Amino acid sequence: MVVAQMVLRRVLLMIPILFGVTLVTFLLTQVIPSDPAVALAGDTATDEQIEAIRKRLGLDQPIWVQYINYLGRLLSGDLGTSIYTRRPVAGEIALYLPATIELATAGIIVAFVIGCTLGVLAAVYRGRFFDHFGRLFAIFGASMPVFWLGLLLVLVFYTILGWFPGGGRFDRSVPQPWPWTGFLVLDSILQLNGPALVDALAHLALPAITLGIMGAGSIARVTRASMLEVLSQEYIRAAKAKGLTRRRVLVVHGVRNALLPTVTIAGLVYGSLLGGAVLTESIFSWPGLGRYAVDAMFRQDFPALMAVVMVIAIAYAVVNLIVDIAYLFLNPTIRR
Amino acid sequence: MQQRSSSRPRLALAVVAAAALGLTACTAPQPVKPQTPTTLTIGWAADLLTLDPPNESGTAGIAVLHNVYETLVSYDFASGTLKGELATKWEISDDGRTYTFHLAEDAVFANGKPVTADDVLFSFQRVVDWPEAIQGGQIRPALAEATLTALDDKTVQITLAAPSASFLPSLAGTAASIISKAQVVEAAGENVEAQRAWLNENTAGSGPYQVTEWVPNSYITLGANKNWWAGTPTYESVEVRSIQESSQQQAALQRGDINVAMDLLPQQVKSLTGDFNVLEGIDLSTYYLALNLAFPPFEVPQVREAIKWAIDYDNIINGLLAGKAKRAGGVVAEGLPGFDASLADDYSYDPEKAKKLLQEAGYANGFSFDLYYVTGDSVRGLGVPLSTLAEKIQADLADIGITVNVVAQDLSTLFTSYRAAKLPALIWYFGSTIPDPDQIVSAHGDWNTQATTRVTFNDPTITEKILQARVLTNTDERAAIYKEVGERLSEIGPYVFMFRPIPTVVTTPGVTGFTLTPIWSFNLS
Repeated sequence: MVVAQMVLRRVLLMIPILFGVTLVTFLLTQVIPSDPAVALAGDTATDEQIEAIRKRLGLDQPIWVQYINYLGRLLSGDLGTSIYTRRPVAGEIALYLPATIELATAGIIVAFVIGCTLGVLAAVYRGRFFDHFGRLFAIFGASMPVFWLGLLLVLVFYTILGWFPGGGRFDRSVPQPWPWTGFLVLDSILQLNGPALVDALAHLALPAITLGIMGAGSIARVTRASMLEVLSQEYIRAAKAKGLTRRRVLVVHGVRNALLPTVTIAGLVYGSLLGGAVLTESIFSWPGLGRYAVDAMFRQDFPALMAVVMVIAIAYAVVNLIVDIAYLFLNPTIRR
Repeated sequence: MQQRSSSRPRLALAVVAAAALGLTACTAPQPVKPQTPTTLTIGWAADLLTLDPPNESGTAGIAVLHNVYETLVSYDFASGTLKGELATKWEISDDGRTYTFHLAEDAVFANGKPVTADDVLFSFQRVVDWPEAIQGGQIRPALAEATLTALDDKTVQITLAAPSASFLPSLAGTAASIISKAQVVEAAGENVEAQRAWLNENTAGSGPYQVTEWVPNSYITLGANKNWWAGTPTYESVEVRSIQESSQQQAALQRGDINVAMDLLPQQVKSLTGDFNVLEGIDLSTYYLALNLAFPPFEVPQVREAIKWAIDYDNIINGLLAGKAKRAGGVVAEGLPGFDASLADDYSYDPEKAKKLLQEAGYANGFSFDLYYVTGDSVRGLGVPLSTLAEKIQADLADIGITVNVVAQDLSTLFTSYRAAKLPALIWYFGSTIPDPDQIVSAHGDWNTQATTRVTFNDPTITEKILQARVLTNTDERAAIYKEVGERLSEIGPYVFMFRPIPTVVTTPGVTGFTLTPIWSFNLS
């Protein structure tokens, strides 16, 4: 019940947020001193061609008219047509968003697993090997450029060893599942398509590990700090005194309570991954939202830009909601 | 929450996960195959935005459409001549205004139906009716004022409002692709918008390969056209795979996952191990400094000349660009009529001469200006950042007392300002998109095309000569006039021409039926 209430409230809150986000983005695009019609038309275009393009795009209307028209179309589900590709933006988002979500999810899972493990080990074996290793790893993850890391993984695991594919989401020669959800892993599982599942996972591996190592650093650090604090609590000593095994004390009483800050930071990392890991997508030729967003930005592709901004805003809101729901389960006292 | 016992399920899960990951490692390294593969896989970073020929401006898109659709005529850069493609022969009336094309008797579309005059009219008319089509400008101005008639099933007559020497070559461009009217109408009906929407994602051509599958930003697959009337396609299928990073292309080529890598940089080519074919392409794009005469002191001819003597061209080409570029003295590239090799020798690195010219012009103490370039951009095919080129130019000009402030700007903003003649100077490049010099020479000398308004350069002599050459059908006479224009532009023009890059394409051994061509990247057969 509490969960349902929270979800409903959040959904209602999204409406004014989206309104504000689109308004600000729209105003910003107007401030930029460049003309998308000119950029689109290219070097050899005549003024007449540019005018025709401008008219077709509705750019000759006053700003507020353009914005009202945009909102109107939005309410009927029309996200507009991309200036550059001339295809409906909604269709393109539907194409690229699942790719990004899939990659971000795989990345956060890797980051969470590595980060949590390292953080817990660092806290439990404080001052000894795992602690130092964990801290070094955190610094490594934070300071290594993702570009370098990605290329290194490709060099080792693709070029030299040939264990994983070097890019793309799937191999064309493997029969692909029907796009029920757009998530290759999920669709393959739902349709019991073994080869496609293995293929999708293989293609996910390297980019997910790249993102995972990057994100694991901050997760590890927060987990360690939080774990240390929890371990020094009285109830831990009480549990030990009760005669519970070390593992039980750690996991059931320790980790579960230490997870709260970890979940928060994981949510933040997930949100940023959803925003589109542009460099990773570039290296691995991953057809995701990041590249789409950057391309839209450079080409002043307003409809695409607006759609991407809204998607990212919604993504952050959803992730925060998930984090808050997770809180409720991790710490029942918050429910009250 | 229930108390669960220990870590055994968790350990099991970890083992299963590891095993699953291990499964994925089952791909053994593929050796590079020496014989011609049945599928040609091309790794490329270039854009492919639409399958509708008049509207496609992306490099990969143009290349694909060039091989999916055919045109009335084609241009052979090696011999510098126009050849018939869908038209076996044509006549031009004495007044130069009426063209009569005779279509090949056995020419058919991929669906087996013959290519008729109706298809030609349909393909051209839709470009006329589509002002915003991005590449439409190649043929629309001439066709919009022309009368198009089908004399019979296989004969098309086009009467222009005025003679134009570049009209015939312009029909070799992808905007003039011949599309099957019957196929389009059958699939999308008579409504123009519906037809455009269909052609955006489907093809109805007569070329050696047709599009079978397209996943935007991922790959496009072409299947062999079993009904190709002009020969037998070498491959069963051709895949153009979007690989953004050239290092990824290198890795994929090395492993044999792709047969052709389009974007390898010179140092990457050098580091390849094994047997590969290195093909040298021709890029018609000329890189130059554009100086805007509206910004003093660029309106003084000696100042412009001084700058032309002050650039260290050799060092740029052999040092910065590792020898992968050709010195260029004008805009018309090799293979096109009017190309003048001697223009490249007009200016060389002579800072003393440059300083003297500045003195004569009254700028012995130098001056300063802002030099713009597109942020993050690099020399086509060579990966050398424009920022480095800009800094080299800055250093060269500093030697003769001119202070250059280098400014990076994103393409949209920069281009808008450039068009509005608001930029004092910039690094720019321009390449022909049709195999005729009129387009590019006009863009750099004809005041009426509004291209020279960008740099406020209005020379009536040059404009007059360009207009003259535009209507001449005698190639030798035309070429002579373009050479005169080239000389005069070299003398007093606002452009400091520098070089044309030499792109490299690498293929695995055994790749046939794939030849590089300017403008359209490659010809598949």
